Amino acid sequence: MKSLKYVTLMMLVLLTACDDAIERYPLDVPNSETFYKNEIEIQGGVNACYSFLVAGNNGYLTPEYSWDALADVVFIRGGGFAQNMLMSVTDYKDGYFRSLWLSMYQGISRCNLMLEKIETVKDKLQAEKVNQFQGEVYFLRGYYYLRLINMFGDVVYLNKTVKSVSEGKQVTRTPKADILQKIYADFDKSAELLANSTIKTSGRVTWGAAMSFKARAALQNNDWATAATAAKAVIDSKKYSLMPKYETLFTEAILNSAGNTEQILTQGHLVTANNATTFAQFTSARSVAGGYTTIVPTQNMMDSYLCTDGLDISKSPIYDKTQPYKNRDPRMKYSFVLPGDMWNGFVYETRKDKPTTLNSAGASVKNLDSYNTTEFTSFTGYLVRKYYDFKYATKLTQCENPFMLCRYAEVLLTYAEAKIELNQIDNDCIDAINLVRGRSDVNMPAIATGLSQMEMRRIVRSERKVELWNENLRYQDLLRWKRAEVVLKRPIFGRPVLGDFSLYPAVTFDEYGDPVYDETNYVPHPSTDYRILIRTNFNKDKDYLWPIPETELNLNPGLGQNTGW
Amino acid sequence: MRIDLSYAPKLNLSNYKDVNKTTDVIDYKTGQVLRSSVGMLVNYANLNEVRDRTREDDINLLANYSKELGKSSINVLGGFQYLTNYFNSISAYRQVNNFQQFEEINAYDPTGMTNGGYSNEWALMSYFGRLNYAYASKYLFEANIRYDGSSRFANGYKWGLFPSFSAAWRFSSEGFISNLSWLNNGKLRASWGELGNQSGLGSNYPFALNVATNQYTVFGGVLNPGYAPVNFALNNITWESTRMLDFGIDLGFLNGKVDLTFDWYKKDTRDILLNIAIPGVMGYANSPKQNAGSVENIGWDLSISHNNTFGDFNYRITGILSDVQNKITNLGGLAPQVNGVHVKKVGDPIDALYGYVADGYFSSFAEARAHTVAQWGKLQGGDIRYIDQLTVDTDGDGKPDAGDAKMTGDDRVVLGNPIPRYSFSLDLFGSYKGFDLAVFVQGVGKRDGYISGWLAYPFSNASTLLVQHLDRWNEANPNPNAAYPRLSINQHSNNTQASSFWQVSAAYMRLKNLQVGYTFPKTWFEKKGISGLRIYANGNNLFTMSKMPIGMDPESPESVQNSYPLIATYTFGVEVKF
Repeated sequence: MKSLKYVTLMMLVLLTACDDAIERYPLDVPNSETFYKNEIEIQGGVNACYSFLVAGNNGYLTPEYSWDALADVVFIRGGGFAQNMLMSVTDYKDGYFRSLWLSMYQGISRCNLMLEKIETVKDKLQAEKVNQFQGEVYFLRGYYYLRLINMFGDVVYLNKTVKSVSEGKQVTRTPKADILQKIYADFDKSAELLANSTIKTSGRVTWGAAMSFKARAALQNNDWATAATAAKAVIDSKKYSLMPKYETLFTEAILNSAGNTEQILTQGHLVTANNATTFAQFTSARSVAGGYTTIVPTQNMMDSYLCTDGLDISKSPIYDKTQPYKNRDPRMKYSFVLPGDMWNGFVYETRKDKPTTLNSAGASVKNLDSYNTTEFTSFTGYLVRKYYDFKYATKLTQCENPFMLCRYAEVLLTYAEAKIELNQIDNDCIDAINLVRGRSDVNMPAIATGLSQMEMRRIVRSERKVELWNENLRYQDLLRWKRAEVVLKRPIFGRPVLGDFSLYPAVTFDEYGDPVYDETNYVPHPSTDYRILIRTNFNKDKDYLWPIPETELNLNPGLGQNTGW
Repeated sequence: MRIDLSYAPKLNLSNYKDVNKTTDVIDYKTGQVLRSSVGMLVNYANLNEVRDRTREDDINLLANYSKELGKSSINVLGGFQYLTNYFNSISAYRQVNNFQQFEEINAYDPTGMTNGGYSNEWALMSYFGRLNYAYASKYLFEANIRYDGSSRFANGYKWGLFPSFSAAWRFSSEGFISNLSWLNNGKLRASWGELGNQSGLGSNYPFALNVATNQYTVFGGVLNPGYAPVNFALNNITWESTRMLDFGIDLGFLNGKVDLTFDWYKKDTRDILLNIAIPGVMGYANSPKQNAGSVENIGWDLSISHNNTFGDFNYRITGILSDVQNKITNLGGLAPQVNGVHVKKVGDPIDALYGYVADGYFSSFAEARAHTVAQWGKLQGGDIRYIDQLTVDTDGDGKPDAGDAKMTGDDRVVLGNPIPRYSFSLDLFGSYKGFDLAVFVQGVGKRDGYISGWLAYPFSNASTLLVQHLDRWNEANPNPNAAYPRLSINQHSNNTQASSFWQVSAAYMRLKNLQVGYTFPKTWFEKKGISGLRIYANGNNLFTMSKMPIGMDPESPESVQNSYPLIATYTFGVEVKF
């Protein structure tokens, strides 16, 4: 029995030691409870708040390439979500809705966490560091909320972190108009905190970004006075100016150059940061090994470019259907690869009856971009040139070229549009448009003075469409102008398969400068080779807002669903 | 009293080396190198080397004490186990090698090289005890208790207490029964117990809210560090537990000539750790583990055996029959979890077959094109028609009463149960003088299987077609009962949807093994130094009764791709003993 006592004793010793003996924590990452205690940790935390600027990394529908596919100007072959949205056949269970919702709230939650953490260590940091950190974070929170209200309308507004699941299930939605005021407040606070910052590293938020996005937020919500004031502040600050050449504006050399005076906020990409893009894969010609040619400009976009005399192609005497790309706003040729261009060492042409093409040496070779070679060549006959860089032709999925999220030309057009809507069409307003049109390598004629508000509206809207093609503003523009119910009822076209425009009737334009196609004349005449890519069917009773995502509604039925979904 | 202490350290080292080489493409006529292995596609020559190390320490302490007190006997056992595990892995990768005969890291180009390394740990601690008490070998009682602690749960949630009890009454030892000559053994059993499980966690630290240090951002073309918590973790998760209730009876008749055992059981697994979505406003995209699900199994097992001898003839027969019904009783509020043709859904068996309900073929092109329900692609005669389930509530009474005229995920229903019901086996053995015969038959009374891939769809992924595909619908012979839909070179997505069309009965009976042997009398060769000689013939998988398509094994009634068909084997042998 003696031994039994020893055993009992031993057991007792073991019992008391047990909890420590089975405690194990991760060996390579810190715990969030004990983190964010010094400047380096806070700096890293602030950096991580930028993670969702280009959010919804779901296939190719990331804002950089392209949110515009939800509108009439970009087509994505195989881009199921964008096409389903255009046809209004998506249901609220589609994972893309939640993907965006989650990304935005991840960004917001990180911002709120950092604002809380900065507060706890404020005394240990230099005042200008605190201003810099808070200034960046306030901007980012405003940015994420802006994208949320733009898509979902009333959303859940939180200015502190949610600690428990039960708390997360009880939140309610705040009216969009109230959130807009909070977004302004965040941008204002950011501008104030960053006003004296000396940090100008490309990609970091600055005073200019805060004011520019405030102008964008106001414009996107039809708050013209706020938009005009904020844009004017950016213009008057003289911190920015247009770069002389549109043609090179989107090249890596200019984007990374210190002398770039036009970019206001830019998203950088690196393979090592795990955020390299596949832009080149989706936009490459079929003649590039591995190129998909899935993201292409539409014929509707092509037809929207004016002729160099400032008239649209239905009115201009210098428009020639047999040479449709001649005498056009030069931004067309800077943005796209057009039939006949030398591209990747070949004369680019997708026509089915062109099985061969010429290479740069003038020799006739197999045409890898012809429909005859592959039916998966560009569905519209055009390619994307804007931002395209042959540097990535051998590493299509590892693109490191930066993309601009906001640039000065947008601020000028925001200012002009807000002034036009306020019916204050003064010289400032006209100059803003003329500056953009008159960029030295664009050189479109200045607009006439004394035009009506409606005429000015048409001009500024088509200027936005052309200048900012594929910069992720068009879809929101169509929604806020309530034009989606008109424009996104029209079919989206590609070029005729044989590329011969003279066989088709002339395009006409509506009062806002968007092309109108007389489908009965186009399609059956003389063959069916005029390509209809999507028959859009925007539902004005439903599609102006996205639905509250399925999982969110299941977890918190109190959120309620948007009308029509 | 007996005490055992054991310590078992274990060290496991694994090295992997993955070498990919490139080779020249040579024109076989001219010998000219068309593509050099060191020119294009240089990245394809690469080497990845991984070294893993696992260290596991197992300490066990066991104390056992027995005592007889008159007719009572007591046995007490107490134990302790402490198990720790540490895993470490490092890896190195380089690409581009112009001297591919050297398969070492240093032979490769350092440009683009990568490396990685990580460690993780877990620990388990258990205390357990057992008490056995028996009175006159008639009344038997056993109690067990376990107290298990796991490092995979947070403090305060690490420990789980799991008791179990069983009792048995050997009624055949009672005086009023022991004089029944036909009953030799009779025992009633009952048990209830609970056990813990933590195997579904997937991670060693599911409770820890960590800061990810890889949330990089790019400023001015330069990589900047970013730190943020990425995956939310609930720190109140704890052990899953399984409760099992069992009643059984053992009977022995006619001096051991007939034995019967029967058990009925009910097993409830609760607090199953599931990944469940959390509200997006919390700022995390993951679905952390939560104790949420429960599953119920109710079943019974019956086993009867009989043996007897008539002169030189001996035989033994054992039959086993069992059944289990499985049902998910709680999924923590999750919507049905669909994975291919399977679903996890409350009220149905785990991974029940799930899909559309097929309703025959379209009898003609015209009928297919006139069909008002949108299915998949352009339909023709011989394509499968599906039932558009009632999913729309038109009269507002809360019950769906109309279809929505299109096939969507909502039109899927549970089709079948892939968990076998009524499993049985029969084991026969007989011998007469030197001859012996053994037969083993097994089968399943009820089970649903599903066919897909090239076995179901001809020309799938550029594959071939099988002889059974000849029995298909075609315009020349629009047979509504054809086994397969119309053939099409491109897999027609309408016909490959998960549906009842491809569900098959996987019930079967199989002659699994048959052996015939003859043992020669010892007297024949005793003097030659041989003590035994037997010849035999053996066959495996000799005969199967099933409704599965040709080439499919009902024992694995779903995966048909890339697997060898079941083979029958015949063996003839001689056994010699010296």
